[in-house]
Amino acid sequence: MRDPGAEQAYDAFFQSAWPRLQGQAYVLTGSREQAADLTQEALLRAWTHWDRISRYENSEAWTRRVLQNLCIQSWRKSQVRRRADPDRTATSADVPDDHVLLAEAMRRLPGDQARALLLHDGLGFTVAETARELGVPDGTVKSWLSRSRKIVADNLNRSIRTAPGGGEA
Amino acid sequence: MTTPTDEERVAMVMADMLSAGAARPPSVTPADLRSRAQGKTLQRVDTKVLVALVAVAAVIVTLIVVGPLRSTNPPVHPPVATQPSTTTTTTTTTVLGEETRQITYEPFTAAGAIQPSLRVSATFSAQTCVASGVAGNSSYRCFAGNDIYDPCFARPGATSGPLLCPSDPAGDTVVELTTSDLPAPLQGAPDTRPWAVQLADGQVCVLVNAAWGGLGPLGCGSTTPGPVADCHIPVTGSPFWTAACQDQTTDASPFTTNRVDTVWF
Repeated sequence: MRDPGAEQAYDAFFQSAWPRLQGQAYVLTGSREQAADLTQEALLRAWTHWDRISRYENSEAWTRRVLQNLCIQSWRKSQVRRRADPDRTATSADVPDDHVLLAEAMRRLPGDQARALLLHDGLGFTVAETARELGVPDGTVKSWLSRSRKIVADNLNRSIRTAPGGGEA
Repeated sequence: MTTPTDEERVAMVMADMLSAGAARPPSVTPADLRSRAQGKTLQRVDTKVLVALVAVAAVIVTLIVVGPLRSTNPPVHPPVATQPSTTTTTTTTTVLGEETRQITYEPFTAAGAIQPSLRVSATFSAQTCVASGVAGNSSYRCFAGNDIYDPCFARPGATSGPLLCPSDPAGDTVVELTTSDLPAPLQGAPDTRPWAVQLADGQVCVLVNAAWGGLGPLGCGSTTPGPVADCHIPVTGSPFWTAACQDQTTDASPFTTNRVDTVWF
């Protein structure tokens, strides 16, 4: 049982971090429902380790990393599911086309490259900050960004080939 | 009017998604999560007791049936032992069971034909292939429909397909992908790296090209069932390599050391 002070600090952290974390999960999954579930799981783990991570200078960075790993794990699981059931589709009807295309392209990237793109192009991290968060040299981040941005942009630039009704989107 | 650059276009859509994702109110309260965390802790204690009991029972059965020390029985999952040697090129000449086998996965013959021992289970057209496959800079990560295939192997020096993509290197089937545009191999990446292992119980674990925080990066169980969920990169050893593996892909799941019978590069 933790002391009430820890609970209050966690509550404040939860309220502050939830919108940002859920937004990132949505970028990585393209599903609002899945983003909410994974954000819950990441914040649950944050509480489980709160004694430790509350002492960190940036508790959200730890939680963000957990969340991103959960999202990437979910790609692997959905990949396995798709192999088992190739007819299964995971597109939500209420998600705009360019969101679907971006999330789809993110899934095509190796995990670290997707994280780099999210941190830099999405969250506005500098190259140096992105490199520090991912534990790689600046040059590696620049190379990843260039390559992954092209893949994502190419996917965004192509129209959805088959709309749900069968016509062109 | 100017056309946005790739960077601007990606940033615009990403900003829109961040905003849309953030707008949805939390589906739980912090108190809900604290309560769930407490429940999970109790459940974990129960699970640990159960796992300990099962482990003790397994040791007793093993001692009775097989005898102490290292088993001389073949692995439960035998494809490695029975797999024709033409499928791959082994870099060692060890006898199965004496030490970890190190195999270089080569689905094409030197002449560029598909190894006769392999069977193509399906052929698809790849939309894109990137030169950052899990098996080093001679392998590719390809996308066909909604599926990701990684690793995929091209003929040595090839600039176009076909590529052959195994999901289980111990098996004899591959998916064939056709593509007319194959990027140059990635510079700076290691030529080869261990991308799959078979543990002593026969379970095969394959490297997942993703970022993991303390988990993986070898994912287990998608091709061969077994108790292990993921493993760290194997550690060299003599006579056997070992890999630290978890039963569940959660931070709380403890790592145990597993003997590695085969490593694929």
